[in-house]
Amino acid sequence: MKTLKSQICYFLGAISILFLLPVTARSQDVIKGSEVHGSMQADAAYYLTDPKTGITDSTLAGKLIRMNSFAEVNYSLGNFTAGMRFEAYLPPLTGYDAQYNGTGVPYWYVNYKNNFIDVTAGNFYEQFGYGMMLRTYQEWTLGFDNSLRGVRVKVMPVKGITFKGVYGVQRYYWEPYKDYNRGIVKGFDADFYLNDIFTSLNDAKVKLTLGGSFVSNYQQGTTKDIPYNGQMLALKLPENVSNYGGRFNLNIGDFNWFTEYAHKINDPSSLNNYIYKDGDGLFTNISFSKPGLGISLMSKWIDNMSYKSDRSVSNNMLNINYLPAITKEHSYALASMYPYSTQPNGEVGLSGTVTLHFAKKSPLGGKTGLSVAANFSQVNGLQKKQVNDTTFIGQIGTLGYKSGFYAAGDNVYYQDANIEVTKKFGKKWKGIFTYLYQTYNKDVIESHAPGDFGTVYSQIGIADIAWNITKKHTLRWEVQGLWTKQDKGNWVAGLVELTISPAWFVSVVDQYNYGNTDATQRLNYYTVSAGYTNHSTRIALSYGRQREGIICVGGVCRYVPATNGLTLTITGSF
Amino acid sequence: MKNIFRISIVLLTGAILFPSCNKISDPYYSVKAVVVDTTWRPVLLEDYTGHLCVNCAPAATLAATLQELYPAQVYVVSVHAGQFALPIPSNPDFTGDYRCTASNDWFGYTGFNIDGNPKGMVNRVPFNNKISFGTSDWNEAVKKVKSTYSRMAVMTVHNVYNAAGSMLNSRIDVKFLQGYAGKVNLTVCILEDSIIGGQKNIIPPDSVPLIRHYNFMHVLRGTLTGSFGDLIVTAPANGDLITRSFPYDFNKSPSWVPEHCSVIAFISDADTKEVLHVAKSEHL
Repeated sequence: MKTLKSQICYFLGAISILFLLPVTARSQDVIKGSEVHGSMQADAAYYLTDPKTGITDSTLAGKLIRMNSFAEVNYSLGNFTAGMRFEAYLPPLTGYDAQYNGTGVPYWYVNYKNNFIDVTAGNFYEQFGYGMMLRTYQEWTLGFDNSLRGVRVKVMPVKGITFKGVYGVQRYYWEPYKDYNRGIVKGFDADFYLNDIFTSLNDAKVKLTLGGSFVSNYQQGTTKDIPYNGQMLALKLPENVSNYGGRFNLNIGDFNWFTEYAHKINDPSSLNNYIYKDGDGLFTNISFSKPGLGISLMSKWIDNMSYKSDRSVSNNMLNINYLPAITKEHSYALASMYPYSTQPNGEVGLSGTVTLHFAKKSPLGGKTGLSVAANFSQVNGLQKKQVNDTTFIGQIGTLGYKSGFYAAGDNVYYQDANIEVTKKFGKKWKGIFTYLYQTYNKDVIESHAPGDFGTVYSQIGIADIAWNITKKHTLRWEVQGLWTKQDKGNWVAGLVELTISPAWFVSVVDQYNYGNTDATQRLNYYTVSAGYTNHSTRIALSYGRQREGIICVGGVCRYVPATNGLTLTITGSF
Repeated sequence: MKNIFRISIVLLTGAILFPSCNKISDPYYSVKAVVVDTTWRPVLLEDYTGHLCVNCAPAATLAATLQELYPAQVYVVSVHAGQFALPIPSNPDFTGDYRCTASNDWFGYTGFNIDGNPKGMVNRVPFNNKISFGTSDWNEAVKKVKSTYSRMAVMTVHNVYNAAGSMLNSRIDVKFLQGYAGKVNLTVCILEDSIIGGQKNIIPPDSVPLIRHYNFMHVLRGTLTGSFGDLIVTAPANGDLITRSFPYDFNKSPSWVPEHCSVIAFISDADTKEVLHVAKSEHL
């Protein structure tokens, strides 16, 4: 049994190696004209037991110290670029998939490009349009990486036209691709910027871009036996599943309109309960902006649009496409307590944002100006009807259900109405005041049984005040309150943060669940943090208790368990 | 002209590479006849599970269906272990602790490589080079084991239960039908059905119930032997008959309901842990 002292020594030793990396490695001329750039991050934690939040020796299972880290290096010389990323999860932080446990180089590439062609071999991230047909990306905070390993070719035959072709297999934790153990993704995308193609339109006020994509996934296997209802069903499977569509972007001065439509053919999978209905997705965004005013309207219609390179996978991994999020992502602790997670099996949503800036010395702006941002979003489920009288909705081995174009059901998944006012008070004081009203269908978003938790209706108020004491010293504090009669009841949160530019910060945060109906769970979730920044290297150390919850980025979410302990984060770039 | 040529080449390449899509028409499936052949080796399906695991309830349903489809051929043991099987004293839905020494030992044995839930093993032999694997492989693994391995032995589990004294005596008879060049262990387990408790769950496509009154079946409660069995024979010959008896006092486990308990026994290779034969007595 290791002593606490030896474990702390091990912990500090491990992170010090990563700490030194960005300091010792600098951009350099290995060959004249070449450049080396890179970045790294290490997130390490030392976990403590905390019986009040259910964290015991057995839940920690002896893995008191955990670390997620990466270091990425890119080398370029003329038209040539190469790079790689090393990752280590020893073991993964709590809340990250245990299948990440290990170390390796999951990402490497070589690239050559000139004005006509751009070729990448190895791993790459790519996006067609808004991503409803194909988007590969990495999100470190979610533990999400669906990069493709294969070949990507971009061709720019004439100015204004870009063709892209991708061919590869996706990353799945550390599991190597072999024997068709997951799908092979092929995609083709064309983008036409008409104002560049036709010289007569070069200077036109109306600017139009058209695009189209075709993506196909090959997954070996024409049948799958699924025991169901006392029978063995031999499902017929499509080995090649395509997802295709088009888009346009129209820009006229301050006005911009983007729309993308995608259609996916039958794609029975574990996520849609092996139904054979085609999928559809439509996303549109209209925006208008001019000095002092910004307006944005978005809507989306998603119907059976999960698209993965392995139909048996039901978590976030191996997503080929990305379904856009239209709800606002909040950064304040209580405002982000109930975030929205995109429902790939079906949803209809609408969102609108208006931002106003009243200039200095205007009637509403006063001496220092005033900014107001109002946002509203709502997402409902689909209106689904039975395919016939003898088939229930979503039944395995059937078309599943019928649903019309933009047919929204009555079930509200999420609603968020919020307004944010930003105001300076003199030269040294600034305040941001936010009010939110959120409706959160916990059963749907967190995948519980209907009626288990129901819908959470919450009101949230936030005051964020910053005081520039001197040119170098800023004191900022937040006061937040969340009031709800559902779920865990009312919360209050506070933060005090002192920043000493340009290097230091120290903060104290506490979230108190004073309204929990279970008196034993009226807990304080406190964190003390301090950080130091030296050029591009940042070190932050924090100690405290983290509440259980969900973290979402772009509608893709990860469960975060309650933790207690010491956390160290080091980031750097060179 | 040069530009048109360039564009045509690119479009033609795309058209050649990406015309692939398969449209399936109704009927989307056929009902497959399941062949049960008692000359095949019976299958022990270990379902590594936990009440906090959202994918484990469907896995248990799948395991139960396989056992139902292959009567007297597939035997399911639900092994509650790992972080998803931890009790949460502060949450009334998850206060139950269904782990036992054997489940922890099996889960922690590195040779099984159980790195999450749900995971399964089928006679503890590799399928697609993995000793343990996800639910999507269970059915194929069962079919492969049944069709690949011949019957090794005949086993019976004979229980005598004294309800007044809560005493069980379980007698296991093993008769080998072929010789085996290796050490053979016998593992005897007590399973319990109909344990009611909370179970996190996911049922695509629309919702994931937290089932507050979930019916846990085939729960591994413990072993009457060591966790990995007791050595009963080395290099048995065809026709060898081995008998062992195991008493157990249910008073030691007052939370168990004897009427819901059963005994399952299996012989395995002492070194590789491969299951060679399995038999079950449905009741005490």
